[in-house]
Amino acid sequence: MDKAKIKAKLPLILLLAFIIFTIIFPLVVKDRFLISILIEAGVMCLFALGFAAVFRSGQFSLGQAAFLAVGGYTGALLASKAGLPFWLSLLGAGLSSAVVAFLLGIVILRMGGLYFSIATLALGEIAIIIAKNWDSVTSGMTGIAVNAPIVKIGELSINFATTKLPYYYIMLLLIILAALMFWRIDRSRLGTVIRSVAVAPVMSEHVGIHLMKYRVIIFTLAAFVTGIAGAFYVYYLSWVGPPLFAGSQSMVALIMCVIGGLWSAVSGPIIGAIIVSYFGTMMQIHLEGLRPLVFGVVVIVMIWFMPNGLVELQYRFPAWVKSLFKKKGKVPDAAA
Amino acid sequence: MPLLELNHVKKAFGSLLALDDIELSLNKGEVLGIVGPNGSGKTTLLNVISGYYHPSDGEIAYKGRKIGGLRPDQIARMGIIRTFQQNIVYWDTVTLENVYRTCYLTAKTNYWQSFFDTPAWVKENKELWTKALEIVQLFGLGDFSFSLAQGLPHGKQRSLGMAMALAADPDVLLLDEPLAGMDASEMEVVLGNIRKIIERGVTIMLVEHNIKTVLSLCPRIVVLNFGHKIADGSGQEVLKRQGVIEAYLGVE
Amino acid sequence: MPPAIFIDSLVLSSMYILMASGLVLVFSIMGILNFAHGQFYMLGAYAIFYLFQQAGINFFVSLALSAAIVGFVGILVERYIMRPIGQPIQVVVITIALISVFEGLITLIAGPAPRSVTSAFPGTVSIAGVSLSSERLATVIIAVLLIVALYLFIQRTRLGLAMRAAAQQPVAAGLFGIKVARVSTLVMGIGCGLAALAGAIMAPMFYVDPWIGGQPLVMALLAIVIGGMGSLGGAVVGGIVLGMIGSIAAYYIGFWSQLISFGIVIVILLFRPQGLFGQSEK
Repeated sequence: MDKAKIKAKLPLILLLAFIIFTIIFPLVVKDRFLISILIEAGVMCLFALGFAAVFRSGQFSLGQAAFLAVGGYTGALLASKAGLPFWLSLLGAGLSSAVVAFLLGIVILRMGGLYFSIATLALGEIAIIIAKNWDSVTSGMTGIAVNAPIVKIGELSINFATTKLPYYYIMLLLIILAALMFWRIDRSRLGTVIRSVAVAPVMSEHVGIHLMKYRVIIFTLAAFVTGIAGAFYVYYLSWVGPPLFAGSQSMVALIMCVIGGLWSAVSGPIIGAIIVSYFGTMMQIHLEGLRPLVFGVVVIVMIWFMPNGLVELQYRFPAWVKSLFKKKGKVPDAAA
Repeated sequence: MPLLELNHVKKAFGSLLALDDIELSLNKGEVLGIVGPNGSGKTTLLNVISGYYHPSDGEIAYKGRKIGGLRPDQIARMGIIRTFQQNIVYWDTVTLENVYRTCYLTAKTNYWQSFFDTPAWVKENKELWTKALEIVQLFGLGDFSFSLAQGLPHGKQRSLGMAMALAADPDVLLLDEPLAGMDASEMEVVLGNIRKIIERGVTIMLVEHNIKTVLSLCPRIVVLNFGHKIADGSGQEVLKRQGVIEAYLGVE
Repeated sequence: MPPAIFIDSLVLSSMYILMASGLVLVFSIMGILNFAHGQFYMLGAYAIFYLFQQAGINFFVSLALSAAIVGFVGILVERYIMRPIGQPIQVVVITIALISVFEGLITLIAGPAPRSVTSAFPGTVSIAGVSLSSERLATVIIAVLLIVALYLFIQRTRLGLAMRAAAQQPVAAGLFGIKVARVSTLVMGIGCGLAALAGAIMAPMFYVDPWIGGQPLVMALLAIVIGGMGSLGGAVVGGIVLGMIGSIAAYYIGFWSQLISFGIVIVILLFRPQGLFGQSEK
């Protein structure tokens, strides 16, 4: 009985252990460079989570980086020109991205997956062009400088300017929150409905599911998370400018999700983001051009040799369903 | 008052008139057969009623309310559900979950409750799975509960399609050529399934090519040809009409 | 409106038309949109750089060689990397991955620094008292010739007829003796070759680096959305519309013209989703 209980709880235990590990990690390993890589990987984790969520609703958002930009610039403006404190800037950035996504989404999500992808691709390009040219707001190529925040928690005042460490923990917190949210959604009825919309929209529509509603909800939510990620990144770099949001950023999200595996709403994108970020930065240091080449090839190879990789999205569910019935003693006609 | 009424309904695709001035009514509890040669507009009729197409002209009234121009999901929520000629299933998962997913309309708890696994949601979720299992077994798919829906043999997929439709709690079920592509034994299964649905009190509109079946199941039949309704009555009456025989066999 | 702007709009239109036509051709073969199409543009630009700028080969010969080489690369990619894959969504992911592959490959081979290609047509010419850049004029003329040649080839030659038949009804075409596989290969080559030509003729006017394929891709996509997915004529119209907006509107209102282009596409998608020349489904 004890062994079985422990075995059932094992994933949870591992997860907690992992979280504790990530919390202690920077205190023990003093490698600043590594920590900065992890922080950037964290931003990409949030980005990948957003992309994955939209993908799992059946849409390819090839311009998701646009929301990084919207969030980044909004955060920068709120922080530097409006003088808002850290958390409010992040929140404002997320909200502005969400609003943009909502307004665009209700228009472009009607059009069918292909046109949506094209529209988001165009959106990504337009965001960069606006960032480069709308001098009055974005200061063009000069960008906007942002002061390191001073966060007050009760009596404690943390000045981010002195060390990068607080960024790490804030990032960790954000990832945990976002992962929790997407994970819960995925396992809930909302997740089921979204999967239905993604896999067989016509059937789902004819059993009463309003497709647009769910597509827009997820698109908006993903933009919210992406916007916050963008603002956080800007705080971390103390600067925002067009070069941050290069056109192929959104492709990177796809690569991360494919490598990490789209079979999970949360662990796949996070793992993929960390792997791609870490190895990507390593490669970029040693040889320019190697990173995109290697990742592109890896994706192609994965599609070649794991052709069902993208199809096995919900393979876990049969086992979960079986366990549901077995608990109550009801077993279907012939358990597979 | 008829449950479903079509008044002067037209559907045009550019210059092609798929449905021309259709007058049709469906009464509660009926099993109405729609027959006609290929291209006569049978499937278009279902598409228009279910909201997949919008009528170019005319009115469709369901329970007294106009439904022409509504979205398919709105019409489904009112109680009109349909099956598809091409077996559309959720290819990413197993049979049982396919039916679970189409129980969408049955679920009453809201999403917040399912996020937090409240007791109300847990209870309802169990009920949904139970309902799905019950329907799966009703259609003889119990053995296939945990097989991938995509991998089911053709006939079983057809049954699954009907199971998924029934799970959506229809008042009216539009069946789109359920016998297409079936061999004799599969046909028997499908017919049995249809009878079970009828037993549950669902009003049925059956579009079929196979006249023998339609005659055996449907007390009333409507015949379409080139988008026109050319006959409407009992099997006997309809067969006697000159136009009907010509439609199928061609004019000499 | 200064004549130079008008010429500019013609230049842009030509580029978009070539890209969009190529994309439509490739779409007719692959059945999905090749998101790596912009990379063939970039390869064409690099080809002209190495052949014309570095090796000094005659400009027109270089153009032809660029198209042939890149077209060939396109054929190889389609046959060996994409065709073996079953599901369309996977092929789409592959085309997206190919963007990174090509960008990375060229960065490794040629380096990330931008290169320039000196014009084969330096200076200006005077027409009706107006001074116009020879380069731009030549570009437009070459592009128009290519587009006309393409049109004639497709509409008037037997091979072109075979191409259209194979694209629309491969099985029937096969029954009529058309070697569909061979024709498909040819179409793929032409499609990618067109992208390369677009990149090659535009190269002297801008710079050449591994990432120049991004924007032409987006514009080509927008053009065929405006014109209708399967339609070459639509690609031409879409290209012209975007080219006009891109330069003329840009002249008057600057970079906001990009938003106008995007806005037009959205409006068309809302009210006529099949594009101006496409076929309706509902």
